[in-house]
Amino acid sequence: MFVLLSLVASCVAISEMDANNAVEAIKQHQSQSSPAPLYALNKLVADSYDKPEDRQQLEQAMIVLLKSDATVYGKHCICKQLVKIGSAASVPVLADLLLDPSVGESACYALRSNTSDQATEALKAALSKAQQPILSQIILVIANRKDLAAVDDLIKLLNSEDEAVVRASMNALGYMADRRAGSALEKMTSGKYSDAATDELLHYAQTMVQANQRAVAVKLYRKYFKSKESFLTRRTALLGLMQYGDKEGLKLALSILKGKDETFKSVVIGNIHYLFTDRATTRLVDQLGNLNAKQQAELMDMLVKLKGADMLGLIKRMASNKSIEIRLAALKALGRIGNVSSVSILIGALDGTPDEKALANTSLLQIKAQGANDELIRQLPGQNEATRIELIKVLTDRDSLEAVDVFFDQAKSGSPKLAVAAYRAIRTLGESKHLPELIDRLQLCKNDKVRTAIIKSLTSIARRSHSEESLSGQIENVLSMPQTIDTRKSLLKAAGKLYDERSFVILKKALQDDAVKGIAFRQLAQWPGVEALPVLKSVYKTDPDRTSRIVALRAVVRLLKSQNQLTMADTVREYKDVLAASKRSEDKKELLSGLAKLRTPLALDLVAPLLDEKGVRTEAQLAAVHVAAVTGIEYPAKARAVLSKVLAAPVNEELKNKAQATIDKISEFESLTIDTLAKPLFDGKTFTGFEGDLNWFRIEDGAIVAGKLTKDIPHNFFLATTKEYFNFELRLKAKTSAPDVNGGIQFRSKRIPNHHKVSGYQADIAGGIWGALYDESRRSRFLVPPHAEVQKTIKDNDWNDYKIRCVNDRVQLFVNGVKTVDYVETDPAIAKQQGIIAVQIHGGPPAEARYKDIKIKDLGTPSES
Amino acid sequence: MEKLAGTRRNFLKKSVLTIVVPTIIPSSALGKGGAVAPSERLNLAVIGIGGRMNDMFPVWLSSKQAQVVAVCDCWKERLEAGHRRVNEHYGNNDCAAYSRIPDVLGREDIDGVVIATGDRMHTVASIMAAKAGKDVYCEKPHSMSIEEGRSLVNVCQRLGTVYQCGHQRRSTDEYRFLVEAVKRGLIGKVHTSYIKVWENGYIQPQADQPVPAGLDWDTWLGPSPYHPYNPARHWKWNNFWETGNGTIANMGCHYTDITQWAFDTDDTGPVHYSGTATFNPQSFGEVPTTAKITGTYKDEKKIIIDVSGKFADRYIRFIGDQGWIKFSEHNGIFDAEPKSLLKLRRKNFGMGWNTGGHTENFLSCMKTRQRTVCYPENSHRATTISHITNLCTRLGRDLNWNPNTERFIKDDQANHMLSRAIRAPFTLS
Repeated sequence: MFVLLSLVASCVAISEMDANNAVEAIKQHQSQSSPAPLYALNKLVADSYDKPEDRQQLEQAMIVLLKSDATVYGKHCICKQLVKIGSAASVPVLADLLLDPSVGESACYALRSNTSDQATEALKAALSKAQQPILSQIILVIANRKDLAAVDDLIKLLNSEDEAVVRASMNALGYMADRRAGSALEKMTSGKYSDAATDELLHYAQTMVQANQRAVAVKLYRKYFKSKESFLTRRTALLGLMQYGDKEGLKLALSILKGKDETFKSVVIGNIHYLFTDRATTRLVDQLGNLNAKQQAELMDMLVKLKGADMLGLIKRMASNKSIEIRLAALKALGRIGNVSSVSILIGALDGTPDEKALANTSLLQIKAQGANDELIRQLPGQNEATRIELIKVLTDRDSLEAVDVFFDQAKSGSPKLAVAAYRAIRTLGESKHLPELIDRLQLCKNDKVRTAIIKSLTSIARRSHSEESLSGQIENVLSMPQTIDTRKSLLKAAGKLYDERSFVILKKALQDDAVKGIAFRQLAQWPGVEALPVLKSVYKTDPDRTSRIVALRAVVRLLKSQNQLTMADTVREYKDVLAASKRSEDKKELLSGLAKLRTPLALDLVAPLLDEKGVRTEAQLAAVHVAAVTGIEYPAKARAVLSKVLAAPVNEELKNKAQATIDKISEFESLTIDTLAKPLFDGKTFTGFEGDLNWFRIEDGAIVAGKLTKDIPHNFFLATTKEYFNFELRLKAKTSAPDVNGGIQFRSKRIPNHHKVSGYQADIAGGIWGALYDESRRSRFLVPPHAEVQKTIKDNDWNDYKIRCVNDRVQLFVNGVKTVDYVETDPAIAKQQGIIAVQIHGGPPAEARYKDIKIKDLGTPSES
Repeated sequence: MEKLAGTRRNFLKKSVLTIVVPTIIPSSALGKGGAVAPSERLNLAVIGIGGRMNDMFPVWLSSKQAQVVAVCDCWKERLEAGHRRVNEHYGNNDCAAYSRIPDVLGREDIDGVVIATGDRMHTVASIMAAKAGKDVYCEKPHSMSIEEGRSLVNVCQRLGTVYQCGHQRRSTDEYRFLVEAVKRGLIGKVHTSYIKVWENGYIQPQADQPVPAGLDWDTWLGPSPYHPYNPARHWKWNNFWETGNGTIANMGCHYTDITQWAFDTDDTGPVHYSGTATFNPQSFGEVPTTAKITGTYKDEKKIIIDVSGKFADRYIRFIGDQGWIKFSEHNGIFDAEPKSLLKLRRKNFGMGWNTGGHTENFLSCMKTRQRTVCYPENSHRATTISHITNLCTRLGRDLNWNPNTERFIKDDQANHMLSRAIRAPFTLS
């Protein structure tokens, strides 16, 4: 099916018959015919490039065709082939065709690249014979060929009555490096076509420059800059002089910079690169004083772009200019030049205005020259403290690893503020080899803020370099020796952030020591792993201090709420254990708050007895209702029992309604069979139940067709259900008009008022992204990226199955039976949002997406979870 | 439909569509005499209102430096929609609507044009605008052929036109980071740029049809050879050589531009091209379905252009002797080896001066007359790589290129393909 053009050129010569057949195949060609025979001919032509005989045979066959009664389009295609291989042989037939209104234009194209003298002659001869509009086309071709032989004939055509012919001829003369062309155009500048003639004359000047006849051009530029012609003409002349007028150009530029014409000043400054000599640069610099601050800044900018480090001296001087605008430009330029010697100026500017400080900062980051970091490090100690703090940040952003030692020096040589800045830098750039030094510093430190900064450095270096165990080993070692209480507390704080096994042991051991027990316990209360549960439970059960017990209980509940650490059954077991030890109502309330989040009916066993306890009844009711709502459909009996118990006791209105709603939902669910649940969402014939811009949606063969193949689609369009859904299972089939067409199915979405957009989840459809979960116009990113495997199952020109299942905070997508998404919504507000279902066509080039067999099982309204 | 060429030229004729011109025309910033008042807003005209312009409207309309005072399209419904959008945005009726480019360019209060037509019009419209004294922002690709590209460079140089090509990736932080990482040697000495664009799809052959109401088809074709109206040629113009260049230029030119920037080769390019391509003879479209072409620079650096796979999988990857860095366009994800270099992707990497956005850079340069980020020469050179890559697929052989003379070495056939036919009265100068 595919033609492979590779570098294996065919070595066998083509026969005359092959050539004839390939060309003959084009004879009846129409513009809508399949291009297959053109490919075949293309290949023969391409392969003939180093085979003169083949080329000759092909050309002969083409000549025969052009003389025949072939279709106009066929002749057009053959002319396009002759662009590549036409020689003197095909000129006669093409010359005849120039006079044929139906293919004259195509014949022009073929002659355009024909390098034979005969082609030149034929085109020239046609100037006096051809009719409009082909005549204009021939003139254009002669122009592009720069056929000097036709100059006199073109000049004659300047007297034509036909405006188009005159304009085309003037344009062609602009291409001719021939003084006769220039004189003819110059004459025209005083007539009816003066504007166009002037344009072409300056075009001619450019042509002369390219033909190494600058003097002719410069004369014209000089004349036209002085003239009262349009701004554009004078600008063209000015630029011509600046480029090709040597000293004259420079002189003119300087006089403009001295003068009052602000527009031309900008032109000179913006194009100063044309005056690119050392002498010119010096003289331009002398002019700076004549310019306003803005122009000075622009000129400096240009000079630095062009001359780079050569401008350093000037720019350094400018960095102390009175005008802030110029100073800022200089600071920027110093960054661009990037020379190490500018470091001290830039450091000085860190003390300036906020703008100067910001620019100096960026420029310091930009200096790439070798030794810049060394220079910054060398200069740092001599600065005032504020500047030192800035430089520490600069070195950090420059990833200057060699600066870490200096940061350590700075950390002990100034105020706590400086020390904090230094330790922050160490935190970013430090490596595991710096941990011992930091621990030493911690032991000597007397300031709380600094100590905190050191602890943060320690823990983040350890975690970044995966040296937690090395650090906890060092901490253990230091703790084994006599230390002040402050030091020990600090080290325990650090251990509390490492989360490795040894740190856990260190902290547990520290619980035995009254002096630091509080700190150790606080670390354990924040410990992320469930290994802390036993010790926390033990504190809760046995510690005499009530505050500690509360902290421990909260930590227990936090750990039990954290997902994926324990199985559901183990979690419930832990709750049961702690619940058994809790006497106070407030403790039980704490535990109920955790139980309410569980998604297992086992939780109901623990909650149910508490419904009878007066002190915690409301919290127990809340937990019972929550758990029943999310487990009720799967475990109806248990949920119904506990809910009945809730309703039997006094209960607030909101909970009562909720409990009743869950009971109703369970009843409804039990009474329905699967068949009755799955309802067609789309009836296959009408848009009943849907709304949207029906200019972009239609129904064909029982399917919704989104988009059109005949029109650009100005933006995304959605056809949406009028009803909103929350929990449901949706099935449908989809296909697109081409693999890259982008469609999709919105769900739990909302229309944005007065806008074509819809916001919410989208099950995506398009080449490479089928089955991905996108958050349309909300977080505007893929929540779950495309699933690679499923893409292979996509049938490009056929229907693909889509299934979307939403239950509470869980969203699952299946494409062609493959599960591509199993997503749990982490944003609680979004997890509760119901919404419309809508099919989409994405804005862009013409495209269609089709959707059919759309069925839904409505699984009900939101339940609190 | 036996008439193919040269039948209709309404270029110089009166427009058939309604022209809506407001009674009060806002004053120009650069003005007819060029009297600069830099604090004033620049007046812009938008030419071509298709998908790209609809994406870009928010950027242009929200600029504080400029105001869109005219829109132009040869298709009535698009023109009206664009016109409405602009006037609704500003809450006034100051924007005028035109169906023909010369009418827009005739307005002396307009300082610059934004061209977002199909590829076939890019260069000729840019040249027309430059000759009318307007500055030009034109979407990519820069040209339809290498000859066209060079002509545009010449015209801008001659007239002092401020021109910005829509290679806007040069002005985005992601690509600035990418190129900075390469230039700073974070992947060692760079030797390869691997460019991945998507394959050109199958195009269903379609019969010629009457021109849809409201569309001026002859103007739409512009400088391309005349063809009867055909929906496939209209909607899938990028798949036909007379109107487009396939994905190699469509997306490819962004990546060749980034490569040229990273390789510091803004005024030159690879000297040797080789590779393979497949074409689908059943498809109505003409551009290659897939291709893999390698361009080799004088210093042996390589640019590999891979045309295959899906739209979603498009990326550029630089490979050096000590690692690589890749940026995927679809999901905006960087990847690299060593991974550590990705951590440098924070604010203060010292990447140099942000241009303040691609369009803002153009507007600032209109005032200062300085060179834009994507000026005629560098955009021409980047586009040249796409054009030669396409020629390589069409000719199916190695090509040797001389970037100084801009000619192929000893290959007349290829040299004849450096230009394309354009219809009078459009010109290249």
